[in-house]
Amino acid sequence: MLNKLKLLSLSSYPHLYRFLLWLWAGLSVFIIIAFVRFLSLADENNVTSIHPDQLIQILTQLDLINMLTLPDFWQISLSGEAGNSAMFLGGYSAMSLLIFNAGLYTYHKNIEALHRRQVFILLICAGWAHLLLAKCILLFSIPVKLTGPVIAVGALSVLYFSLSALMFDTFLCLRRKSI
Amino acid sequence: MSLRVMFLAGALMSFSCHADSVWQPIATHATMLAMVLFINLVFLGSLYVLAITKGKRHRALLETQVQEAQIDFLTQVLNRRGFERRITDKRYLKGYILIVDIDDFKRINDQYGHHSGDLILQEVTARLKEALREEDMIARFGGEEFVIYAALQNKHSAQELSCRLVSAISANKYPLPGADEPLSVTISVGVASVLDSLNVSDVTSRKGVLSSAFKIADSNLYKAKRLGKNQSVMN
Repeated sequence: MLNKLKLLSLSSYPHLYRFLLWLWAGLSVFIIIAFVRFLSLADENNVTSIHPDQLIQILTQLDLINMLTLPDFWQISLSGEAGNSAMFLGGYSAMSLLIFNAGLYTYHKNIEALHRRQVFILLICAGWAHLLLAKCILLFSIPVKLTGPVIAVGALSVLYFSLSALMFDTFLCLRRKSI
Repeated sequence: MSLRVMFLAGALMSFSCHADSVWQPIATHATMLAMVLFINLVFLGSLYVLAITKGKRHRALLETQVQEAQIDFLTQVLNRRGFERRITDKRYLKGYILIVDIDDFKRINDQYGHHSGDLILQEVTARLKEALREEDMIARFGGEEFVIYAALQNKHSAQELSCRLVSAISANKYPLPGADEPLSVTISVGVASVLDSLNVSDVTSRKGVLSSAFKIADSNLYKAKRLGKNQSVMN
């Protein structure tokens, strides 16, 4: 009962705080979609604002700051041809999300009741931690063929965890309203 | 170049293990699995460490609160709840119960004020504690009434202890701020023996034994009052 109350309560979850968390999660999802779209542009040799060698360097180093400054990065399109949908499938990211949620649920039920705000933050932080770890791995000189999978786990985890956080909060919000 | 970019893009497709060498799929899976497990381990491990730290702090706070709930704020000796808890926890119960009451305390309060009354209570407590042994238990039961449990072997020792208490209180006068002369304070003491029943684990019978000892000590206290105060009475 206490667990439910902690998750459903809104008292210590002010609107501004909530808005910032949603903004953070929304931006995370948007950036990763743009990133995948950008990769598909690079794959089709349609990148115009950067030399291909530089592009390879940016990608293999996961240089997000430089990537965000490229005009090509922001060529977002909602059409069906804007990137292969299979590129959004990440088995390891899904596995990570599953393990994390199972751990969080066990913790919430048996050790300490978590607030919905804390769950939201933990999910987003865990998602971005994957990308941070990917960046750290890329700082070491790993074989170039491994860079792709590492970036894939990092980027798709941000997407999965942020989406999961948004869905979780929406679900609790709707459930609270229905009570 | 295009091939390399294509590989990066292709890597985002679930499992990018269309490698030409033998080690490639193994290294790919191992790296991705290591990333996943590491992140989860770090996050969930931190949560557990946090929970342990918070739990320890919470337990310490709770323990302090339990202690405080059993201590009388003014005199810093046990209160009634604390006394009852400690005496129930004792494995072996054989000794004497002494009920101590400050004589004419109401007059002190009325004449010198409640602040002075509090000072007298504190000083009386200090003197009583000084006259008692380490293992004796003293508690303030409320107002000007104190209860002492002393694990003494015979009646003579109990008599001696009660006399010592009476003289410890009346031996020196009590200086009060704002009063011209130091004040004389005396106490009356009622004593009764506590003999535990054979079954020490039986809480009900133990409470019955204590309750009857309290009644006897209380009636002895009133006898002491009737006999002129500043003395102890024991059957």
